[in-house]
Amino acid sequence: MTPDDLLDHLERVWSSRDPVPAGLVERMQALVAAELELRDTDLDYELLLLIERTNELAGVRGGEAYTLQFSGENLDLLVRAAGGEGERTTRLDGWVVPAAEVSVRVERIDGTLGSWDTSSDERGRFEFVGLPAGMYRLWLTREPGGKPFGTPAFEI
Amino acid sequence: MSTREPGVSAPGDRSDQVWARAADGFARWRGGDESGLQQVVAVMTPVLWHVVRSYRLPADTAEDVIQTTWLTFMRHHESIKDGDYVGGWLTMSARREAWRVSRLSTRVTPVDVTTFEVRMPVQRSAESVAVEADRDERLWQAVMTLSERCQRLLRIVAFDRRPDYKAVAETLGMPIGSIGPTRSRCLNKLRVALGDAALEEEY
Repeated sequence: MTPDDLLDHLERVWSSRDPVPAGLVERMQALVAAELELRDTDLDYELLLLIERTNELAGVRGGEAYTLQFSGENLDLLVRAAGGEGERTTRLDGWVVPAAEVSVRVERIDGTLGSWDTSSDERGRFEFVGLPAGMYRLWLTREPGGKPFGTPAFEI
Repeated sequence: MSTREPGVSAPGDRSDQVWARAADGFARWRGGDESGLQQVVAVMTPVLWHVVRSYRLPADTAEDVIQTTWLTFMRHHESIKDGDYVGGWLTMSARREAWRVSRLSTRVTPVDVTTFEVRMPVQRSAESVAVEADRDERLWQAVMTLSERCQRLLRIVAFDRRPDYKAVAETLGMPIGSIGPTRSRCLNKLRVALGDAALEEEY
């Protein structure tokens, strides 16, 4: 038996012990499809990189919530996403650092596509309430016509 | 990739088949067929999962890393001069991003891999399934006796047979010259652990 046989066996065992999550391939396909549409509009943007993800303990007030910290050139973004459960509606809270009034667009990239716009206040805060559960990306623009910042997709 | 020599793949080398399908999809996409891009994503996402999880990132963080890898790919794929290299480019990019996030995050927790659910194919005889399950379990137990560094390196190599050693060295914090010898040493330790566990040499 060769090292490749052993590696084949390792590949099989790892695939069964830590399987690829259900739907991961489909989510990534939706992501690149949305990205292709963006490219058709010649939109150039700066990708905000994920610095940290923190899951909050479930059951504080029902529903699941987590915070994501993104970072880009001269701009940091903290996002808290809380899923709706029962009577509760989803909400998305954002903080832009350094604090500034920026245009904010949230765009759904799976299921029924759609986008919603708002602006951050002078403290850099913004919110979206009642978004349908799904995968979203955020786009921040400092001044009209300026190069936007885009986050990776996250789930609400 | 520089360490990869086309034409020397062993028969049954699944990693090479994955690479070839990724390269084929990439070529079709570059030729204007968007379904080629979806093929690249379909064949490479599972590989990226295993590469990224070897850095002991929690599942949701691993998914974030894979996503960043795809977004980076969409923005920089023009820089991939040789389309055959697309698989290697993606795994290298994913390793770098996994490494970056694992160093930043305070939330990297050891993954208790022994608790992963075992999924067996169903359409075979109970006996062959049992024999295979036993072989898998013995291999798994042997893997668990290895150091974390060996586990990570072997997982990377199992899904990416000819990785870019420079990027692997960088993300494992090892000198580039020691990757090859460490890989051999880890495989040997695994063989010994298998032998000790079973008192027989299967490999």
